[in-house]
Amino acid sequence: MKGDRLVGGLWCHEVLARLSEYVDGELASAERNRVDAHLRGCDVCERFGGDFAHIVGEIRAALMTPPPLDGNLEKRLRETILEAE
Amino acid sequence: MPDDDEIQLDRALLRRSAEGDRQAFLDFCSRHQAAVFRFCRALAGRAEDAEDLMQETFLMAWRKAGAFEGRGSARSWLFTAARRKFYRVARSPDPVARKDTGSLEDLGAEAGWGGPERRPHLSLDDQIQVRQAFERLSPSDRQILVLRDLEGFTNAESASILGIEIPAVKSRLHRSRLRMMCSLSKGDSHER
Repeated sequence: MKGDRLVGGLWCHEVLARLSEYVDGELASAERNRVDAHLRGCDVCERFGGDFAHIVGEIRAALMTPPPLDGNLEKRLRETILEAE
Repeated sequence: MPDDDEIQLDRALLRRSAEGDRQAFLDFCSRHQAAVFRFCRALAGRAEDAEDLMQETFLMAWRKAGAFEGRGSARSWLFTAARRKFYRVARSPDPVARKDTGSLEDLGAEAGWGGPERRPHLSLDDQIQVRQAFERLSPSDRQILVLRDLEGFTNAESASILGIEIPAVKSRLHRSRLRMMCSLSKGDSHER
């Protein structure tokens, strides 16, 4: 990225690499604090990090609401099992 | 992640299934059918193919219920079986085993990293758009997103199902999420 900056002890590209672990709460506290410090001081990463976290939440929400399923799916599976040897 | 009671119930149902108790197995199917179907859909894409794969997976579980050793959850056993069956039938190499060597910075830039604007937040009405963006991804990306972001498997469970190491799960998940952002952007531009 043009303008890769060192803020809070981390470069922008290092924050990009840590975003999933940050969102998932998997970073050790010292590392998390460094990412927090970078995000407070870098509007570009703060903006993208916010979008990233939002999309991760949306993936779950959208995929948990399934498209209309064939209502006979369960019936057909039941028939298959009842006929199986 | 299922709690201990859920795990024990699955084990009991599979034990009874192994003794020929078909109703116990149907109860087991009811507990996992929706999740297995979602995963099969991520693998196979088309709903018809996903249903065939789901049926094959549960048939295998019925025939091999006695072989379930209970080291992991029955759910991860089913998911692992679905994957193996899919790649055996598809006769294609499993792309999850392939290392993703592209530049993370380039992928991030494509997803909007370093861009001047915040992405407009999606509303509930945009769930169809998210699903379409998801369907445009590769089976490899869809699998990891279903395992971690939808079904809530841990990194260790996902690694076991996918047959890769935990660091590879983390790396793949991160890249798949970024590709999901790219796919959403492509959907936006198609609609304009």
